[in-house]
Amino acid sequence: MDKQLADTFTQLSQQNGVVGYCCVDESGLCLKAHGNKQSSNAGFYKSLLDKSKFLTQSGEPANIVIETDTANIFIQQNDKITLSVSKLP
Amino acid sequence: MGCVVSKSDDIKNENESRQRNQASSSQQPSSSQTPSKQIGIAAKDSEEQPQEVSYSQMRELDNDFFKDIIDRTAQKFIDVSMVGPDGKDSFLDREKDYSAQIKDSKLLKPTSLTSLPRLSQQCQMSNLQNLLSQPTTFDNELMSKYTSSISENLNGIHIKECGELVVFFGNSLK
Repeated sequence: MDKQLADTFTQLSQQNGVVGYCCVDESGLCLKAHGNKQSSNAGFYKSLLDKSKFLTQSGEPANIVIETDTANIFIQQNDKITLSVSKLP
Repeated sequence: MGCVVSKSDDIKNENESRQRNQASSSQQPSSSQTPSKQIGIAAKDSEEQPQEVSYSQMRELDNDFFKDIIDRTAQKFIDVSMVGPDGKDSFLDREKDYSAQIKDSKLLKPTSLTSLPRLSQQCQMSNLQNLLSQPTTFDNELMSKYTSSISENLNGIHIKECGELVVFFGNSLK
């Protein structure tokens, strides 16, 4: 079972323009991270998505894009995990 | 009568000659004999006879010593009475100079306070144009695909229970 999960992360890292990713569990702990300073920002990603629920009437978390000089960070939340992908612009 | 007078004179002459001879004999061996002196040892005469200093000389030496001390201290200290009028004038002149310098000087504002933040070296012009031209769209296809696949893979992972992680010390102590 672990092999399938590892293969999925490998495919994600091999995508065009992807320079890093971070997978966070329900409690805000880092499950898997790759790239510069990805693991240290796990809690921030989780907290940011939780706060975004207050912005929508339905209570669903929003899809967030963080634009920086070097890369764009896409963050999406599921029932169980929060995934962030750092990609070149 | 004539014979007696001549004899007494002769006796006197003989006595005087004897005394002269004794004096010359006592002087000759002292001058002829050289006293032996040991090397490295001062003469006993200088040691036995200490230098005698009178009371007046002692007072003069003490006065000279104290004069030296007073002269040395006078060179280090500054007489306050001498500074009074001239010192005030110099202080006022200095104050004027300082105020003139302050008025003449102009303070320039640093550019770092008012300028815009600098871009990092890694940023390229093409990226900058892209950033400023249009907003970035969310890559929903990529994110939804991998989010769902990762969650499915996590559902397939089961963690076995290993029992309690508590160690009892009561039995071992008994």
